[in-house]
Amino acid sequence: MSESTVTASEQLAAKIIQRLIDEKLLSANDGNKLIPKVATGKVRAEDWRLAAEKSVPEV
Amino acid sequence: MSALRKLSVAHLRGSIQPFSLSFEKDKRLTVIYGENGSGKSTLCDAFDFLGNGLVGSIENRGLGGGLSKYWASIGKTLAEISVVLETDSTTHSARLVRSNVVVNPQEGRPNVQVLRRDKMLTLVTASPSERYEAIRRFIDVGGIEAAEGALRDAIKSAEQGRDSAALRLQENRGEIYRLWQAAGGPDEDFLGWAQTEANRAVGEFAPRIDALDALLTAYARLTDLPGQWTQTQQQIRDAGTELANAQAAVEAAQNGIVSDAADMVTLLESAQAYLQRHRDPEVCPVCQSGEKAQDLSERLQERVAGFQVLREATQRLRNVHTQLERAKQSADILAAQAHEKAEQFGKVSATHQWPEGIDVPEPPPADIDEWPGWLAAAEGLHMVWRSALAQCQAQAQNHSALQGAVKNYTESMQAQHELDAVLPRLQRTLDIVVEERKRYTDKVLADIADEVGRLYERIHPKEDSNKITLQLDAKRRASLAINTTFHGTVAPPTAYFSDSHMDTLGLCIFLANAKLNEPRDKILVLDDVLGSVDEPHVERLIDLLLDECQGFRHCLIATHYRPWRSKHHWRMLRDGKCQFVELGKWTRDSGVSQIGSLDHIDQLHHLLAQGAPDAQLICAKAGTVLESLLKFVAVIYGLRLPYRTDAQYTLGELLDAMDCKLRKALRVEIAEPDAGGTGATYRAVPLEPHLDELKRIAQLRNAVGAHFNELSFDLLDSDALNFGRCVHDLAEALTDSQSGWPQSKASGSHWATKNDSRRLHPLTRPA
Repeated sequence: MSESTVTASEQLAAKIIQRLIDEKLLSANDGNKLIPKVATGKVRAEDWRLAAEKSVPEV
Repeated sequence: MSALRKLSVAHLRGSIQPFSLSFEKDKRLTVIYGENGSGKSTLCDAFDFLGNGLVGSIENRGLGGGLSKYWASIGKTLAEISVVLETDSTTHSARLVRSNVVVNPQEGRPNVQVLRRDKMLTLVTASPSERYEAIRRFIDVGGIEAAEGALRDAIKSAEQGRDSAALRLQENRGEIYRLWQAAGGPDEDFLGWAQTEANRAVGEFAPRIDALDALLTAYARLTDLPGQWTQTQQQIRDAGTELANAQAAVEAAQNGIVSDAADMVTLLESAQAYLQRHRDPEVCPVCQSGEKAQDLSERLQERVAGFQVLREATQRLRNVHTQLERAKQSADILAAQAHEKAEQFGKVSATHQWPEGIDVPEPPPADIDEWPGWLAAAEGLHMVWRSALAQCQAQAQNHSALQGAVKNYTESMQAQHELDAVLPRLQRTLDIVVEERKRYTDKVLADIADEVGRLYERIHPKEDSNKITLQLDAKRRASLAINTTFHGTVAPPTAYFSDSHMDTLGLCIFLANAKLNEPRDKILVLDDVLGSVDEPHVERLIDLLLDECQGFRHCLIATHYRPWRSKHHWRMLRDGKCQFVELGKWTRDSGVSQIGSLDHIDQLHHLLAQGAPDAQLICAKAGTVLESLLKFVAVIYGLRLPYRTDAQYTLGELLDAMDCKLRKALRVEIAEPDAGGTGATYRAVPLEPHLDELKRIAQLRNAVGAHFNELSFDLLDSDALNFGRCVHDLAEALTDSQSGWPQSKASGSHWATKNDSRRLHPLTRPA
């Protein structure tokens, strides 16, 4: 069988992260690092918090 | 994915003898037709065995566990089971090794999905969790749900942090206000005051505290001295008096003895000590006289005792004298200490700059006896200093508390501001995650439901029950509900659908699921799925399967549905992509077998080609074929025929229904492929000559092929063969053995077969 190895979670994680990057809720760098963690559910609350803090525009 | 070439099955279920099924090139659909018990399910099981390691046809038959013992053909062992599938690119074989199906090579093992008749209803009536399981891998986003949970935790934690920061801010504000009040409310803006005050260095208070502390310490060191001085002076005076008394006592004792008694006592005590070391001397150790030397020691002891009073008085005098000297030394030390402490006080007094209200006196006088007066005068000041120190310490403490409160206030304010900025972003992130997750799963489910609805609509058009919805149960994980709109009422299909409708719905769900992911890799096996479908829907179901199967790697349909066989024999199933395989009767000796499955036109061809053609058989077969050809023409051109309830017409009636204009116009263009196989040229064949000739000899069919008729005794076999050839030529002109009849008028100018191998003109009957 040569079925696709991309899981539904992986597809969706990439889509979600791209949208967060587009809306400037994540930096592209942090977003790309988060994709595998989000897809596998291994992302922690602190990861979300840190990424959100880093994305706050500096005044 | 490479095309299938051949399936070889040995000793699996009905394949008592090895059986091979060759697949025709470029045909993705194979229809296995056979009566019940002919071995169709064995072929389906062979695919199941190879792809899934199962033999599904005997499951759910109440046989309990350990079904593999029934897998082998009667009289064969499990180890003898063999399934081999050859494709254009590789060959996979499957065997049973210690109750495990081992496929070699494992890589590229065929992906087989099997649907059996008894499972069709199950797809609809399955529990929501079982239904979810069937499509789990397409909608299971457990990772995202876990990430969503972590995000919710982050938001909850941030909200708690923000509430905590707000509470701390309130407390810090209250503390600052309290300190502001304690400071007498010096400014209207207590926060502004606090900021200004907090910016003052805490060291400002330290020198004042240190100075007052040093002053109080220096003062305290002075206070004990006068008492000590008075006590020492008294000791000197007492010792002086005692000394005088001791001297008088010594003088009195001396007067009672001799003038040099003191020296004598000393002498005698020395002699006594000597005699203790030299007992009973023979002579006096002083005068060396032997006279009176006897008992000298005893006599000496008596004389020394006589001086005891004097000795005690002398000892007392020495002691008193020592006491006096010590008292004087203490007085000297105290005087020195007093001087030093007074100097220290003076130094402290002079070193610091005293704030207003703090009076510091001159150092105490040199004469210690005057100190009590000095101390009495300073007692009031001392209380002031103590109070000033306490006040100063309190101020320092308040300042420190204020600084802490302002620091905490600032930090709490900053924390709150940061969380105020982060929280909406986290919340928005969560909104996006939830929205995208729902959109994703909703879309997958909607796509499946739409596909199920589309397929179902093809089988049951305009039955107002095609609206299929699939919904995840928000309250229960891994649960998928199915609903249909049945005449405006939304309900589970089981509520209103007949078993037949649920079967077709089950098939549609199966096909829609199978199409979800890489259908080109999948081999679909549909085992007897037409069995429970009622007659009107079978035609559409067959059309649906013919179309949908083209999207998969291969599709195998096993059926005993007889109309399918008939349609095949009349070239009505032909679209150039379907292989029809007919199985013979299964026997204990031969097992599964394939029989020839020629259509009627090919059968006519075979009859004509025989060395000794049978005129009666030829006329009978040719008559039937001619009827089918003429009925086809009558239908597509709408020929006028007398109305009959059984729609049975003679050849003569059918031939007469074609008027001259139509006969002249009827023409078939037959595609003849180029040598390169890339294109085709068309050869025109007018049908009028065939029809005219057939009209002339059509009665042969009845005379020779349909009835016992003595007239036929006079007819030549060559006439019968001519009739057969003429019908065969017409049939070959009008139909294609691969793509069937020209039933499509999509061109707008003529009727055509699906692959355009035949073009029948005209499109409509000439006026």
